Amino acid sequence: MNPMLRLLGVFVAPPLLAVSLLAVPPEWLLNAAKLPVPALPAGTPAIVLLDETVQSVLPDGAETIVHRYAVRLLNGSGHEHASGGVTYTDKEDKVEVATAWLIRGGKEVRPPQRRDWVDVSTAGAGVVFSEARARVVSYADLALDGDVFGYETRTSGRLQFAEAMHEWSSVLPSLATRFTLRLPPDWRGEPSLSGPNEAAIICSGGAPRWTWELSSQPYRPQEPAAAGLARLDAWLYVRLTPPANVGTATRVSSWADLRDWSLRLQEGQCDTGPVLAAKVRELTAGCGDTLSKLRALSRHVQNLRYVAIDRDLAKGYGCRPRKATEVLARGWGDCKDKSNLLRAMLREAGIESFMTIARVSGGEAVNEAWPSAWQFNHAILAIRVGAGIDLPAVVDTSTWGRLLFFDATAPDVLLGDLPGSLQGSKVFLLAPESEALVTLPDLPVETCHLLTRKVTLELGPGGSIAGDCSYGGPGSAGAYYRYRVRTTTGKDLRTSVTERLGTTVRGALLREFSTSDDPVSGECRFQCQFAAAGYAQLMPGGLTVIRLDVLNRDAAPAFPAVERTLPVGLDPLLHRDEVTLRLPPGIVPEELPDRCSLSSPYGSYESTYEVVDGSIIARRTLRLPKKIVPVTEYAALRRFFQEVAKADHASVVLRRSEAPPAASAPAAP
Amino acid sequence: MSIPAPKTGSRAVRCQLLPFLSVCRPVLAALALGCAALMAPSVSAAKWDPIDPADLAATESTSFPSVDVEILLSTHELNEEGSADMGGTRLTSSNFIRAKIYTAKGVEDLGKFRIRFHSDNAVTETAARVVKRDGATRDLKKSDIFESVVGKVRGQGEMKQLTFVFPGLEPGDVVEYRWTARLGSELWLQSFFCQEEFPVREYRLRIGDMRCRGTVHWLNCPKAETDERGGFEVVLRNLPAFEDEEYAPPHHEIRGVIYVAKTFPMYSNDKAIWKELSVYWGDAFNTATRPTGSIKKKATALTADAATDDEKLRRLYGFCQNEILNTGRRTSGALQAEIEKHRWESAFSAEKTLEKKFGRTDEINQLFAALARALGYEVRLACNASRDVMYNVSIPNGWAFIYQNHTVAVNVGGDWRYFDPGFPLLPYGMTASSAEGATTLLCNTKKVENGTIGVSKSADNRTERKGRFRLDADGTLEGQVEQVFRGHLAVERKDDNWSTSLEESTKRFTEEITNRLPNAEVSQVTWSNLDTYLHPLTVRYHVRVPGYAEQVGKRLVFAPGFFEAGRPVVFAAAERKFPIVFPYPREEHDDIEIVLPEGYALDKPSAPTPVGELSGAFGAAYNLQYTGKTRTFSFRRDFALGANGAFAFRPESYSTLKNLFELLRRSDTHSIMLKPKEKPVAAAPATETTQPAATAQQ
Repeated sequence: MNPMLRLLGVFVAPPLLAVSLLAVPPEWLLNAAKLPVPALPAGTPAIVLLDETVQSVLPDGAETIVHRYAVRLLNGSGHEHASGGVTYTDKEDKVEVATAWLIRGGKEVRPPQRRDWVDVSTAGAGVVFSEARARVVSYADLALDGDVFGYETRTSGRLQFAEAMHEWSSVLPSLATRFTLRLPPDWRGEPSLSGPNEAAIICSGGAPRWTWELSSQPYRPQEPAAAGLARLDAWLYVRLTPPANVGTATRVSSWADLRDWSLRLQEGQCDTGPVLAAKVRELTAGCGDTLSKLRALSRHVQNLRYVAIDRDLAKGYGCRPRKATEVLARGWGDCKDKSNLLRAMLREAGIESFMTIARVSGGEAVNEAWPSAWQFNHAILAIRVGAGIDLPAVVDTSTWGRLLFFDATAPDVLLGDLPGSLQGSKVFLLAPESEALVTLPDLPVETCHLLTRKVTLELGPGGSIAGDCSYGGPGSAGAYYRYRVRTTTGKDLRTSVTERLGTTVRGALLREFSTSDDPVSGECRFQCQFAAAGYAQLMPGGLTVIRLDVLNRDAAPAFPAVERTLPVGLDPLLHRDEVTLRLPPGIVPEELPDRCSLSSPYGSYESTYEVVDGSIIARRTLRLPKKIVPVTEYAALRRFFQEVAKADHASVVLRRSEAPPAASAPAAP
Repeated sequence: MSIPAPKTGSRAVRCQLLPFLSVCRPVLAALALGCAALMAPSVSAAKWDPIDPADLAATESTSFPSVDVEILLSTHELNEEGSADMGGTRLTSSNFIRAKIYTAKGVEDLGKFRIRFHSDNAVTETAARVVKRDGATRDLKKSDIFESVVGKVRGQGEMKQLTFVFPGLEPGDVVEYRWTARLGSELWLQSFFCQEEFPVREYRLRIGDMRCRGTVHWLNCPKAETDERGGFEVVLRNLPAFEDEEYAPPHHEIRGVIYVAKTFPMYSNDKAIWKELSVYWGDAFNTATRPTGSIKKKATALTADAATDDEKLRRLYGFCQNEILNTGRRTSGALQAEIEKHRWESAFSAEKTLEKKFGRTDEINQLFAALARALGYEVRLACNASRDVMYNVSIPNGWAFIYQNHTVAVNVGGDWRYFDPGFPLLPYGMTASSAEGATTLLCNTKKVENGTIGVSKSADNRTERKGRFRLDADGTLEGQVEQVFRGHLAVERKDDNWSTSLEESTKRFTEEITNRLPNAEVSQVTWSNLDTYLHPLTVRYHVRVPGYAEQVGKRLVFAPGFFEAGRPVVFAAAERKFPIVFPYPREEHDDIEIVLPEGYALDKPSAPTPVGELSGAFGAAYNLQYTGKTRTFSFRRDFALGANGAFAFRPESYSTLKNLFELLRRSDTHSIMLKPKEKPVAAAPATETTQPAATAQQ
């Protein structure tokens, strides 16, 4: 080969073979492509013409799932929706068919380059090995406005549980979303639907073949502060009863069944040994009471690294923790590993606890009527405590007495607190007597969602200020600031604090910065001292305008959009600001903002200003409840936050004391 | 906890897959390059060198205080494996890292170490261990190392990943790990950033005694030691962690990087390679842009009544950009088919592009070059590195970086001017911002010649912002806004719009406003000239901002600089390490009129202080007027960055620049106070005139 060409070879993209091996578009897709598009909101990127899933259970417990999907791309933003995929479990399921087409003007667009389906791992962060995989394909780079993209997949495998489940939820509008379940003649199925739009699901057929269909789903785009399950229409759950001689799928017909299945899987995993016992002794040395021991052990387990291995999922090992002694020795684990280790350590310390399964988000929607492992994806711990331990995350139960719930996988949420996503959710204890769900508490806003900020400002010559501020809190605020400290280098933390100050205080120079964290109260705070030249604006005539909101006001959500598609999810918050402005001698307030008090079902707001001993003290309180606000109330919600925005001012006007008020006399030059 | 989800293919499942789709193409590209190495799942027995007890005992780095992790030693050796006679050779790299962990964050940062590799390659001799502070060691077992398939495509192999999970890791531990990777059959260009997120005490790169060992160069690494015994070794010490900074130059200009480039026995030195490239590309370009009869005819027709060089070139540029359909943009099914068919083929000749009336970026540029040649201009292909990689390729082996950006250089009166009509929406006279200021190779069959692409003027990249507002007594600001974007400011937005939709562009633009004014209601957004380069981009909208003005007792306080209100701070960091480079010079011209609420009067207004010099590197000027008759308050602001051509600054200038930005922000957010009008004591005729409220100009 010519050496020059070889030299140049590095610059030339390798030519790829043009292959056209696509199957002819099927009738169902060509028919879907003929469907008229209804009137849609402006900017809707695409509309789903058909989304059909057919699950067929075979007499021996095997299953096949066929998925057909067709979407019309309406504009440039819609091109990315020319993509599809199918999930499967490696070594258990088989993806038998995966074919995609692009239709333009009723005819297929055949790219000279074959579009390959890419097989990818769907492992999440912290997962070093997973059997959970997907095959995905994209025609986005080929698509034009008006094209129809479609794909069909067929997977086969075995039922893991004698259950079927389907979810209707969407971002894109859809003409028809259909789920069909086919059972062998001697199998029984008990379907039930749940969800905000369950009444719109039309069921046709009956045993052994049902079809459920939802027509005309609306466009539900991204919107700020959308409630967790805002895009959910309905869930379908079908309990299956195979004939007695078909025993491959796990049958869970009651919560007791789920409990027993889980406990069998976990048998022997909560082990102990001399090293574990010694570690417990080491960690609890000097702990005078149970609460101190709980704190020491829980903090140790929380600080272990999160590493997950998802292996033998079809056998249910996704719910089986590694042995406690192994997790301790290795120093890492996932949610169930950590909960199991803590359980073993607590047992060494004489404290009883129970593994508990939960759902990371949307746990409040766990359905009591559906005893199914599919409703859960997380493991936490329920610790039996006495009356002496009074923490917000304690639940009084009739069966086990007082239980303190604890998430060992949330490294910044301390014992006694709960991650916001778990508060109010329904969980299931894996304890011998467990036969029903337990609802976790919504922790009190006054103590667990409190954010306090205190600032002292000293006004200097030329409008300069020196400031001292402290902000943070217990509970969710503490967890947030703890997270920042844990994941950010000291230098980056200083820069981000300077940026935050700089948003309001132009040219703020950070002089001192420190953090504090109280493991008992959970209070984590940032403290800083800063200075800025020319912060206050000196007006002609001797007046001075100075803003007191030096830490900005981003805690109050804003809803500028006039229209809303999704319900709003408000997070609980009690935000208290206190800013003290020390006035230099000879300077007095000329004008202060008026006191303001607002109240609505969506929260309350109050701001006050007073002069005490030569200082102006501004106080501001914003209280938001945990609440899902339906779209029908959006206008009222928006009005409230607009009123807050109007009232939420913090500038004060100062003047020299020797001069009479500016309104009655010419101001000093 | 992991339970396989119900496999019923709901849309929810599909939507969760969307993020993976974005990685499909990179995965394929990576597979095609075969750039990584395969790890054998076995762990080899390894001999470890003793660790300095002082390092084991250390609680903080002596060279880099307060870091979470310090790389004590990082060694990498490139070698040839096999022989040319016996089935060919392969390159291998043997790697060893020793790192000290000081903090819990360090445990989190280094607790998992990952390597990705392609299944065609191989990695062997993997080993790792943890050394505790007391010297106790713990070797990683098979069960601590996890191999997984990240992605695979039929017929293209698998992209795998190996993860070392260090057991029982605590602050104070030292971790060591090694692996040997196969890289490919021969050395072209291997580039290593030796400056990473952790500081490195000692970094060693050794090239073994290979047949064709390449040349080793390093950038941004002071005090390198070299040793040429038995190969070539470069040693670097005390490399601080690399921390990016806002408006920093490209990484190859500021971050420690070592690159090893192939040497060619037939070319005695880099100069010879530069020459070969210049000749080869120049030759090919000349052939492709040969002005045939039809090209000459077209060029003559296009410039029939053009008198000046500028007018002639503008005509040719306009023709190529507007009349030749750019297949880089998908607009029709027929075009789509042509794009796909032609995607990987050699470029059409200029004549064929003219005949077909569509072409790729390179084909449109070649047509422009051919037309210019037809008019007698000297024309060259100009190759440069993207400014995202480096500005100046005049470095040893710099030729290895110039394959990315190509423009057309036309000699006009002895000066080289650069054109890129194949870049849709790029105005005449401009090149892509990523090319501005870059050193070029002006491909020539006779000699190596370099040039520099000019930088656009600040006035070329200007935005004119006009707002006509009314302020209510409750502090609500409402009105009509028009913003005009020119130059790169327009190209960026127009280009963005191509890949999405009008609604998406509107949504993003609205978010730009609500990001700084969270309560702003933006409506009636209309765009003009989103799809043409010929005119500046204009957007008009209505905005309503409740609470824009603060009510302080009876007074109202507000900042008239609507377009700058709520902007985030620029240059928050107290110190600066690297030069500051803005994307391009730019200007802003604001014209705001606010009708004040009835019953209020200005309360001793003052003007913002001017900043810097408008005609210099950085400047802003303000002008305020008040027309009592209409209660109209006018605010004019002019801002320029790089009006004198300077848009890059040395790190020493950071404090000055930071201060200028702070002064600018102070002036931009300068407040005006209104107070309720006093009731007139006696009726008196009012003479309303337009009078300056305050003026502050250079």
